[in-house]
Amino acid sequence: MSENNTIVIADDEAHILRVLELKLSSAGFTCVKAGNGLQAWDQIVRTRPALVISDYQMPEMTGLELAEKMYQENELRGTPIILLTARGFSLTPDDLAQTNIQYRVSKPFSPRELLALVQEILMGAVK
Amino acid sequence: MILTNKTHITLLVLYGMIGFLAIWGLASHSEVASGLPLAFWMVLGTVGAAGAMLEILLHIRTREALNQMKKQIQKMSEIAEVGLVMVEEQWPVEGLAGMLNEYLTLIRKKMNDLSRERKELNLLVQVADAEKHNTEAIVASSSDAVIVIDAFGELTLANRLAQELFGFKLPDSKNRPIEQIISESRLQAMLDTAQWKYREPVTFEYELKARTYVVTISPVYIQSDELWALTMILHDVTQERQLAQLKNDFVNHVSHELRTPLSSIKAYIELLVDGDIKTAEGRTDFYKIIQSEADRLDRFIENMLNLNRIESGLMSVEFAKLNLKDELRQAAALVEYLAREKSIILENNSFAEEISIHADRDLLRQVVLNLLSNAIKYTNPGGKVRLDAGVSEDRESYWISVEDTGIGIAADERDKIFEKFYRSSGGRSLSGGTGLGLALVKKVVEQIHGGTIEVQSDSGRGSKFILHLLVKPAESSSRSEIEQEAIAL
Repeated sequence: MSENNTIVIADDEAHILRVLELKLSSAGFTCVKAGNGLQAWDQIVRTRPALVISDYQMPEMTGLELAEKMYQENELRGTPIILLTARGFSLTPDDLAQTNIQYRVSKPFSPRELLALVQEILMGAVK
Repeated sequence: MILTNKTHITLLVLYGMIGFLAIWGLASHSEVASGLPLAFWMVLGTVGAAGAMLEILLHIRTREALNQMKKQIQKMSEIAEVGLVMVEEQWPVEGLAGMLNEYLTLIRKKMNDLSRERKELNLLVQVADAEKHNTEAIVASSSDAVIVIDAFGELTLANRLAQELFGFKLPDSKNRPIEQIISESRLQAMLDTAQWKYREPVTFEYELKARTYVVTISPVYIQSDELWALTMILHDVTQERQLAQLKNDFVNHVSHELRTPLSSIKAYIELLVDGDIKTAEGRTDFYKIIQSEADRLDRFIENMLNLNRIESGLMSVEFAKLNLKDELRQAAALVEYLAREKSIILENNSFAEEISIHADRDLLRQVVLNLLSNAIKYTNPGGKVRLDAGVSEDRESYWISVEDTGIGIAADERDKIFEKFYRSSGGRSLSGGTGLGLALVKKVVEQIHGGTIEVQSDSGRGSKFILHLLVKPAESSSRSEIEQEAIAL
């Protein structure tokens, strides 16, 4: 695992944040929570996480806007992002072109599978 | 047998000469004694006299017959009819009358044929005229904009909608080239192309004056290959598209609101099943979250169904005499655990006074529940939510208020929060809200109970919702308003 094991998790649903934090923490990750897009941005800038897990539909700033904002910053452009979206929600390749969104996970999701995905991304990053 | 006047005169002169010769022979018979017998001169005289008389008679009869024929032909001419020529004594003109009648019969047949053809043509013209009027009436009454162009690209017909859409008047623009009337270059190009390329109607979408049209250009061919006209129909689909978009948005909203609590329920159950929660206390906490999210799902579905029933005029409203204090206490009890979860103090000050009201129990409870659960959701842990109620001095009206110390509502958003699925910049309607709660509150208070809602709030400094209601609402008027709204929808 990379030395940086901080993950910013952003969702306006407190229950989802709690589940994610619990699951990821139990696997050794340090979680930083954010309840909306702006909070997430502040936390990302402050903590420089290894990965960002963000809901798409959030107040203040959507997950896609957050990803685009990160992509515009050289130091954050390479940070992988997992976007949580509603099932059936469609994003075009153009939507994703100016982001580093590597995976999209549909809600309702399995915390177990999400953890596996996080480990795969971060292990892959080490390699 | 018809003789000319010259022949008659010649014959008369001839008979006269014979008569004169006979008279001369008789007068000189005795002296000349030419050897011819007296009887010869007498016969000659008789022949001359008879011939002359006969000739005169023939001439008279012929003139009479011809005059009869002339009068009859003049009569035919006057009444513009063709009949047969009838003469009393035909023998001098028998052949002529027969030939003339044959000719007249032929003319009459031709005239009859022409008359029939003319009637048929008139009928065809009438039918064509009626069809033209029918077509014009159909085009005029069409709810689509319709333009007809001839094979030379000149305007033939356009209805009122087309004239308004492209800004021209048909009487001024008829027979003018279409490119002088329609300035839209893409439409012009499509019309040009359709003239020489397409044999079948071509359909495409077109944005014009902030509206969306489905345009169909159809070539009209006559006698297989000859292009006669082009019709262009512009069907306005803006509303259909908007409705489809609204429907799509609604389904997306509903799906989001259903999926959000479901996501929590599923994730928490998975953690419990995987044994990630080690302590009994933690597991109990998780069960409570699952219960609370299931309640949220239930509340969303209930709100959605009730809103739909109210909007469709199918809501069965049952007004009953209620004790407001009891109703508010029961509602508060239902959300107490939510407040406790967030360490929010839920104050209920509505117990001070007994207030008897008339209202629909289930709907009123849902209104109070929605306001209380909203207040708890948008209040930070450690905050306060206060439920209060009171009655006017004349005891004709009462009020219910729900006040919180939460995130508040910006002034420009206070009306919008009652819209279905409205998402404010501060996140009200997210963060556990159903997106329908306040919409239902407004419908139930204003339409079902004839009351009003007052919102006092400042962004970041809490909110207060005050419901003003009549103790005995006018039940029938509120129902009829709902039904009218349902019809309007």
